[in-house]
Amino acid sequence: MCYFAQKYVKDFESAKEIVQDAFISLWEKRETIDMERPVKSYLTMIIHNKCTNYLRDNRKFDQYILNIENLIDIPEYESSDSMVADELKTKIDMAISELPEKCREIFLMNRYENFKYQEIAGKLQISVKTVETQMSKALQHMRFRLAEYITIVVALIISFLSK
Amino acid sequence: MNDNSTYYTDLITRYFSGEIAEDELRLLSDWMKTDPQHLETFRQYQKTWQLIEKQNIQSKVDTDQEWIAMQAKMTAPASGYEIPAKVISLDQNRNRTAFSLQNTWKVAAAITILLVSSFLLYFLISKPTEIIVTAQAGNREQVLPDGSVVSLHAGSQITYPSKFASGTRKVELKGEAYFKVAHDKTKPFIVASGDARVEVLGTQFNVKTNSLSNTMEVVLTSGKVSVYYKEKPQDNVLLAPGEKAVLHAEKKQITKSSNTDVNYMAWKTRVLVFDNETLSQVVNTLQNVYQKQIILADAPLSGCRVTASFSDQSLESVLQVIKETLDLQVTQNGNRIELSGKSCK
Repeated sequence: MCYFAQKYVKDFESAKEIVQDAFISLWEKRETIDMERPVKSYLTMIIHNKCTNYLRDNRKFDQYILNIENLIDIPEYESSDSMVADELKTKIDMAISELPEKCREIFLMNRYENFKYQEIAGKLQISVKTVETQMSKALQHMRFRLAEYITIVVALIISFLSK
Repeated sequence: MNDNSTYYTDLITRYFSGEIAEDELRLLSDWMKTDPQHLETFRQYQKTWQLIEKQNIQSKVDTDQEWIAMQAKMTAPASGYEIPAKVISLDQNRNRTAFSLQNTWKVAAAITILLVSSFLLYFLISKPTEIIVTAQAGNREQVLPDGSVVSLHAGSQITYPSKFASGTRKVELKGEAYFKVAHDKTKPFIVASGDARVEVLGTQFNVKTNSLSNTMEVVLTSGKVSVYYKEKPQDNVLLAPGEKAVLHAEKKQITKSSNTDVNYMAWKTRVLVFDNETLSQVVNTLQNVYQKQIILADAPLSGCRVTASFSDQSLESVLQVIKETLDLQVTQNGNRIELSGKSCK
């Protein structure tokens, strides 16, 4: 759920809050929900709404991009195939370890410790631009290393969106 | 094209990390609209990002903590909600819980194992540690670093290094043990007790040390051994199968004789064979094998003869047979067993 929310919201802490609020909303409405439908779909809907509201309020979203993000899910990894998950985890860890030291440090500070660019720049005594460049480099490397996990469904998306 | 592509990659990265500005957002969206290639590029970064984030969240979110926090929020308003009695099954979430908890434990376990093993490795590599093996209640077998097998008689103890250094394989013995030594021409196997040495190349033999009488007895089953005192290795005694060497620590003397005690290994094999054996000898053997004190209360009994064999029998069974055969009385006095009677038939 957090993962789903974070796709929209990008900020981990906010995503967590939204998910919690979603559970609470669902709880408050518990008398009125139809128990036939899976709870997950209710939650998903609630989370989606809360996220869009959040974005609207924070003014950092683009309808077009949002639509694109929506369409692409990674259903194959929602499965609890722990072997694939482990493999993936190893691949990710390996790719991260391959990053040059400073780059890796910045990347981990941003993704794992949830520091903003500004905060990282302050802590490491470097410019925000440097942080940006390093983050970009990191993502490029990760994309390259995780290529095999990124399946391509190009034609479908493009044809749909060109309308 | 170089400048352009890094510019947009930067934008995309800023977008995913939530640092993008509003006007940049529009730029990005326009850029994606102009060329399906751009869209594809965006998609790939998105996928990459999602894989990382998913992994990230699974390892970060402590579902239990969050659940508690959430419950707090739910019970806070004065409407008096109780902790939900209706259990809503959330399959997805359950998987996540197990996974994230598992992950945390896995990481903790991995780190612990890593630390412990590097600790151990350090010690193992820096110098071979001494291993002491004691057979307490019953007999005990131990495999040595070179593959040799030692059978320890109850109450005996051996000391040896965790790794045999170059040159020799030395084992210290207190008590009695049977050795099955693995062949190794490059490293003679040496059993030490005090200053006495039993040197072997690859063989099977029994060593009995007696700290009270300060003696050591070696009986060879098969192979070849050399017995000597470490100060006088040239005054060694070579044993052939079936021979026995007795070492007297005080005089540093070694006497060789033919082994007459058929039951020298009975403590291990539990096979006893008495062929017209004197009762005093029988009692000696039984004491050794069963580790109990047995006394002949009446002197004339020592000359009685016993002919019987036992295979894996308890001391009670053995004594029962002897009692019947020689018309004796067996009384138990604490840990002491007394055999009394008139004379033998």
